Amino acid sequence: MGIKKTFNNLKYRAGMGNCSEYIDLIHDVVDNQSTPAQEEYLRRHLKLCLKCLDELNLEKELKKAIQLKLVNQEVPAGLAESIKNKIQKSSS
Amino acid sequence: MEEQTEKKQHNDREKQRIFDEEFMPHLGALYNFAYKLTYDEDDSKDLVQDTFMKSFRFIDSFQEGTNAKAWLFRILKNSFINEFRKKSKQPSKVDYQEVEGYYNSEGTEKPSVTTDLRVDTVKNMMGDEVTNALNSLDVDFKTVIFLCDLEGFTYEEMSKILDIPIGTVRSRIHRARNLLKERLAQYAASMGYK
Ligand SMILES: [Zn+2]
Repeated sequence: MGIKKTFNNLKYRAGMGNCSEYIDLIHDVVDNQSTPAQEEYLRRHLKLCLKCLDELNLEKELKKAIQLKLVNQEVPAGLAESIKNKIQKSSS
Repeated sequence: MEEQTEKKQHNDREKQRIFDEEFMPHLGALYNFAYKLTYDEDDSKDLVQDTFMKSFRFIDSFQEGTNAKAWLFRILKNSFINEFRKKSKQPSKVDYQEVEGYYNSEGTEKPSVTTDLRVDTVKNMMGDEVTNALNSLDVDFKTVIFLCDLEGFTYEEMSKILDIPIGTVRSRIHRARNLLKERLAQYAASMGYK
């Protein structure tokens, strides 16, 4: 690793990287795809950056809205039955 | 490397058991996925039936103990692309490669918050506002949001379901969410929310 890259990496870990470097991480955290260490880097950045904190809160709220408010389609009556019948026919 | 890929040959009774215990419980989730893709009840029924028929036919290639849900979602997605999209009355207007190219060319800067959508606004949204905004997105974008947020698949599972690299899954989710935020912000503005 070059010296510049090492330095940037340190800054990133300390939460002092550029905001654009944390965007992926924000989504990863919202989606539970991050490691505890990565979450810690983001936490450090959020202490310094209101903009990214807002962004994280918005993404979380959006995900929650999709989970709680999206209209769920009822499975049409008889669909399960008709699938089972077709399977029976095909396997006999 | 003569590794024997042990393809289990199940007898009819085992097949029926796997089908009932591992596949059928996902009927509701699969139907909802089909509906998000086709937006039509009859088409969704066809797509779901087709998926279950295929899953039964290829049941020997399913490894018990692995993620049946992801396996079934993948079959449904492929049926949709290979057979359904062709004969569909409303073929997707935009090729997603094109769309992704388009967004990639929007300068190197990652689109940070382009909208001023607020947390409170999202909290106050009604269910059909969220539903309509999601439905207005191109099918590839609403698919990733559906798989990720509603069905809770991991990026890795989504990469298998959609046959795209994880990096593409990630960037597609970001774009989808940015588009969704734009739509919701427009909606909020039109309703006079701040
Ligand atoms: Zn920041």
